[in-house]
Amino acid sequence: MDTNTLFQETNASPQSNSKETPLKLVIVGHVDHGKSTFIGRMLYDTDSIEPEKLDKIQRICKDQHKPFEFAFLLDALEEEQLQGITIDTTQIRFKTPKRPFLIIDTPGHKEFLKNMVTGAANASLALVLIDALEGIQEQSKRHSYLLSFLGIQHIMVLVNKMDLIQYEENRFNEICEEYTNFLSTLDINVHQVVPISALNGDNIVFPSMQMPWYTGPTVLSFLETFQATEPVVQAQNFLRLPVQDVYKFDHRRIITGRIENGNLSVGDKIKVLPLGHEATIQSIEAWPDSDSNITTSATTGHTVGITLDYPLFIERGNVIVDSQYAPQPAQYLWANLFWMQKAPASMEKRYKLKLGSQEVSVFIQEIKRVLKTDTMTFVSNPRQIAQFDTAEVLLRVERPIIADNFHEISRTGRFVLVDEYNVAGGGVVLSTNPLIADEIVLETESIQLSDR
Amino acid sequence: MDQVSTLEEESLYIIREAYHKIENLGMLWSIGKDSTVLMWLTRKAFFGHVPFPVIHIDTSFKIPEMIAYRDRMAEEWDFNLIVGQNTEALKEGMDYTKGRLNCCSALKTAALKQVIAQHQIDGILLGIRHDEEGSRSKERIFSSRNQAFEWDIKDQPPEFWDTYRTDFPPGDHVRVHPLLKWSELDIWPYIERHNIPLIDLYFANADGKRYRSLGCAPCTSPIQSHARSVREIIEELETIKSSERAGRAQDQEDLHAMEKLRLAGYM
Repeated sequence: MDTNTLFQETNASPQSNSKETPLKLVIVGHVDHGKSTFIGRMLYDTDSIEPEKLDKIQRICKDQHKPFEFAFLLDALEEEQLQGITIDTTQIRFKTPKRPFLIIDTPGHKEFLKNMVTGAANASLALVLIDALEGIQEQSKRHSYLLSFLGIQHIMVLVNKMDLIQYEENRFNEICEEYTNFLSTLDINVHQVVPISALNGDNIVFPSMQMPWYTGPTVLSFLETFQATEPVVQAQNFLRLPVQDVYKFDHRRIITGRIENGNLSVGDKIKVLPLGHEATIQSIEAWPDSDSNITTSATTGHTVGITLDYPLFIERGNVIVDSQYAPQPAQYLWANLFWMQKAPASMEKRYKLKLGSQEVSVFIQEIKRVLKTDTMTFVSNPRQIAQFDTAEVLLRVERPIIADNFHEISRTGRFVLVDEYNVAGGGVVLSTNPLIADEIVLETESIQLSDR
Repeated sequence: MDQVSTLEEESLYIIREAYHKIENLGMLWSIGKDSTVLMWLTRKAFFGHVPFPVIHIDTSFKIPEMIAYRDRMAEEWDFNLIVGQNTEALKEGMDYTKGRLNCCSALKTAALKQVIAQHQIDGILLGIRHDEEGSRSKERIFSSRNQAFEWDIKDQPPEFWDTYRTDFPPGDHVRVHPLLKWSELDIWPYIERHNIPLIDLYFANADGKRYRSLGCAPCTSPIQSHARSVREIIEELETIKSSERAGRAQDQEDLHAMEKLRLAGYM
């Protein structure tokens, strides 16, 4: 890969305004590779920090007899500042004349991986920081793997602390090569690799004087023009409206939910799964009334309230779909599972699967193989899944649910597993099947499941 | 969808999720702009209804206009208002001269605890936002507190793909933060878009002063401003560089004042 090439030329709007949705960036990487410092530098160099905040950080650093610490802008907790680490994720917004940004900081310690996942899951672009001196470390790899797991397909790599290696091009190229080789095994687009020094501000907002050999964009100028391209899939028009609740505050019986995929309009014929009863959308309700007069259709992302022409029995957990394109409810799911809880995932235990508003008891019927995310090696036919590992599993749900292939309809193709009170793991659906387990095993042996 | 609409949709989803998952839900209304937006969103989520009690913690030191406004809105918007007050602490003479953090703990945190116990509330909606202050920036949307009201900041649950932790051991109570992802500069355009009625204190008076953040009279100061309308406030905020809570004296008591208050149950 040519590290100095911009993969995408764009036409971002020249002027940002408060209505424009910010570009969501997540900063990931190994502990102490400089994530929080990078963000602090970015904010400082774009003049985005309130003077009182700078002042407060100066006082804290003085209290602790430390030099000024950019990281404290985001590491706001006392414990974080005392230990000089990031414990939990946070987000901060800033904008340049070109566009608004939302930066999500994440912890680099393995112990706080669930906080990293919490932050990263919403991003459209990830910035992976790698320490030029230390090179690629455990979390550099694990984080990038988890990004692809979470469905984040775009990353930018920042080789940080170039000042510590005298801004040397060879070492930079070595890291680029090693990392790009690793990433080529994941389904991720690397858009740009930039050599930076967060501490000194090289190539972040201002081009570096120290690295004339680097002719690519600064981090900021890349971000200002970046446009995420979302793959166009045929399934994008298929309606998925999981029922969140049914209200009867007055004469109306309003069915509410968020449209996770597709569109709906008054007059559409729908089907309510899993039972499959049909009806027609009579109205889209809204408050205040002035809003409802104009609402006759709604699309992905809208939280709607609708009424039907026929009083079907409907409850939370049902899924409303287009009557012509109704998916089959599934009893078995092949999925990629990421395990976050200390106690390993076990085939003997019952968990609760939450997919949107659907909640159902689930067993792990089969663990095909585990990927140890510290060494990035596979283990075949394991009995359990340890914390922070991922695995390809066959899940059996106690009653049929509506689930989609994650790569076709991502929002209804992902779920979490709850163990007692805690969210223990997250997963993405690779395929669904209403058949019994034996038949599935036979079938899948002939299908090449994704090798990721 | 633009930024504010995206946030609105997410908040509606969260409010409905809380209403379904939490049996005895309440909502905290501070009378300020954020929780008034939360009130608006609640009415929107439930098609004009507020199907749970609205709690106001009255320290007795609130700026007087706030109380008058509160009572007027309760009538106009027709919700069940619960006023919580730590009368015992007040009898013993608690006020900010006993230390601002002590005062906040007694008149706000303890008063909230009392209301929650008295009305057996197991979850509350709050209008806090991530950009207000450091410890709030680290919050979850569904954030549980143990029986002692404590917040375990070092071990928060994962929260991703719009899935919240909604299963709790008995005795825990839940804070739900539908506005967590909003910033001050989303709140005001939203108020403008829907023409949401706000207390006059936010708008510049004849002396060229207005409140940017509301609280108790002794600990809250107005800022210099000539912004008399929502539009003018938005224009002012686009250029202003000081922080929103600069006029809140309790935040300045200690470098981690809010974190300390919040670990023990403060809003």
